Amino acid sequence: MSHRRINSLALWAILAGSLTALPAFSQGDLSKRAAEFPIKRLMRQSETQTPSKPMTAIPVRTLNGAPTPVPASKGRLEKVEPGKVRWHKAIQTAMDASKQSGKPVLLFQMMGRLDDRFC
Amino acid sequence: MLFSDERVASDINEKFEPVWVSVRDVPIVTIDFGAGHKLTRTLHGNVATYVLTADGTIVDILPGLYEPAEYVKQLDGLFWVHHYLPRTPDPKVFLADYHRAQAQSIKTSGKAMEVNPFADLSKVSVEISVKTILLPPGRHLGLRPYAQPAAAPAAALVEHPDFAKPGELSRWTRLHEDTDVNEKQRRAQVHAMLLAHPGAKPDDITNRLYRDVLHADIEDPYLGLGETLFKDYPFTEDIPEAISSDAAKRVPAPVPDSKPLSAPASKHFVSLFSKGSHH
Repeated sequence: MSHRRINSLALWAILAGSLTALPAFSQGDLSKRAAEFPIKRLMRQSETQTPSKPMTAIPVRTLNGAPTPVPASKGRLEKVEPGKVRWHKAIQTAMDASKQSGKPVLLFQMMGRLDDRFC
Repeated sequence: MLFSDERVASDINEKFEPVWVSVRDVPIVTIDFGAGHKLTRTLHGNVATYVLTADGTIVDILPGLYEPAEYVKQLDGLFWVHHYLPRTPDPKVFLADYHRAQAQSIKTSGKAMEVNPFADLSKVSVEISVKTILLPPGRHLGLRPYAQPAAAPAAALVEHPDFAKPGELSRWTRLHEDTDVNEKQRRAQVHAMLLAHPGAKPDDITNRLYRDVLHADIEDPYLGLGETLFKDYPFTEDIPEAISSDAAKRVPAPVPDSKPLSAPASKHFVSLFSKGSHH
């Protein structure tokens, strides 16, 4: 291929690249604001993104004892041992056991999950 | 960490039917310093320990984080309050008297009264009432399973304990301070709240407890921090609509004698309850 041919192709490539970038500049100044990615856009992206590998949904225990599934995208699933206490699985189970044993129920209420690494 | 403590766990296993529940997700902050260096921490987490009867009626609540010895001591007292309930002529009246007396004690002396164990096992028949089961603050009767032996010197408090070592949690100055605030301020609010809601179940009181006593509005997606987070944020289009409309309407409820959970203990919440390789 001749040098002229190569130069011509390179010129076309540069032109094509510049044209592609034009709409971004036409929206106004490409400011720090635009470069920082608005939070809303990031949040929308994170809501619509699906994880490449499906994660197992683990039910969250709630006050009324009804398990509700955790959205798989939460990313809070790293599990740890919740101490040496022999926890009942649900509040109703603990109340039923209390009726049998006569012991009071200890309800430990928290933000997050006791068996999450970040709780 | 708290529930990994042998003495805490064995005391709970022996005396209670324990269960934990999540009231909501805890906020998690991750700072990416670049080059693979990331810091992840929980933010503004909080807890409450309820002692309930078998039908779910609240006997009492321990608000917030406690250091292990005080936690066990307080649970021990509540175990006995629960024990006396069916032995009283009217458990509802007994509980109301109990909360009234404890609120008054904290108000006048800065401390709650001690619960007398085995009051009903006396040779002399004793009528179970608040007067017969509550002792002046600091007066102990019976066994205290977690009490320090008299000869053992009190462990010195430290600002930066080594959490990898067993028992270090009880030496943490900040947790000690938080425990103190829980007992001297938040507990009084809890007693007042339960006095105003006789026979309450956890669902009746949880939102109010977290909002007014623990200063974490769990009904608010931003835990009541939205206005602070977005107040001076320049990019107004990014501020959630709920925040901007709520800010105009929201009038903070006055809560006397309240103090936000001290940042140090709440920041380290992740370290206190679970046992895992990260601890």
